[in-house]
This record gives sequence, structure tokens and C-alpha cells, in this order.
Amino acid sequence: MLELKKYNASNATYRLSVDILSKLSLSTNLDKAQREKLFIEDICKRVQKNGTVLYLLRDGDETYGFIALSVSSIDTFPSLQVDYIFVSEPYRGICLENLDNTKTSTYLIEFAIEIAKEIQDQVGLRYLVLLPDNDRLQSVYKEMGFQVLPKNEWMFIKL
Amino acid sequence: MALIIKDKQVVYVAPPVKLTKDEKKILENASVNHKLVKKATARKYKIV
Repeated sequence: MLELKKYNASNATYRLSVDILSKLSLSTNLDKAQREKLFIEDICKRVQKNGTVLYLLRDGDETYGFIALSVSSIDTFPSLQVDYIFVSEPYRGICLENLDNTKTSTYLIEFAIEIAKEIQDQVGLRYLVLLPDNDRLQSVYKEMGFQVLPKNEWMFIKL
Repeated sequence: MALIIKDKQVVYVAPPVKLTKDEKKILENASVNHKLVKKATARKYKIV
């Protein structure tokens, strides 16, 4: 069954990054894979310190990827921040039937919008924000509905 | 994403704390993508 396994400070063990990495496939390019491993290890440390919450998307034995979210602000505007989004190598760029025929990254961003709307109802929130890793990703996020702040390259969706 | 690699170390990048007037205008004048929000919130997500 399709589900999002939530990891936060209350259930994250010291082995979290090992566990997460064992469920995911990194890029076949060694440099990229090393970079992804560093990011995932860093994100898992942040989960343990209550700095971010990680949602692992899986269906049975298949793990598609994850998104890590934290509360932040851009200027004085309260926002939900995408700290990191990762899609396991075999599932990149493909639409999956069990994800309503969307790509894993799109599904995870839409999940973040759902979380953001829930928070907005409780405490107020204006934007979902992220900083794309490169120009190619900026185009991908634009297609998803993000707008870009030209000077600093942060991207946002107004909620 | 809010992580970058600098000198082989992962560095966390926070959103800007001070935007220019023009940037604030872009944020304030942006419209809500109701279609996207509706699509995202109509789905049931199972969180465990």
C-alpha cells in the first residue's frame, strides 16, 4: 500500500541515514551519488535534531524517494521549506500509475502543498519555498507551478 | 532544496531574511494556483 513513512526526532535512530540509504538507489554517476549521500546524511542528522521532518514514499517493498520539510520564513513571510527532495534512481522522470500517473517528485511536492495547507489552517503560512540545486531543476519546478525570485534563485508557491 | 556543497561540506542555506522591494512585490502579487492546490489537497495521503 502506498504510504509516507514519517521520520522526526521522536522516532529517528542514530542509524537513520544507514536505513534510508539502504532503501534508495543513488545516481549511477559516482560524483552525483557521493553528493546525494552527503545530502542524505546531513538531512538525517537534521531529522534527529528536530530540524526537519522526512517523509519516505513507499509502496510495499518499493521505495520511491523522500521529501524533507521544515518551517521557515522568507523575509517576514512564514513559509514551509523543502529542505531536500530525493527520487530513487530507477523512478526518476517516470510517471507511476500508483501515484495517480504523476512523477515521484511532483507527488512529493503536492504532498508538501497538502502539509502546508494544513499548517496554514492552524497557524498561518504564506508560501512553500525551495532553492533548486541547478538550472535544470529550476525548469522542473517552474513546470510544477513554482515561481522564481530572480536575484537569489529561491522559488516559491503562494498558498 | 536548501542544501549546497561548499568545500566538500554540506551547507544549509536559509531563505533570504531581507528582500528588495521588487522581490517583495513579486511575492505579494503572485497569485495562488488554485488548480494545483486543489489537486494536491484532494488526494488522501497515508502517513504512518
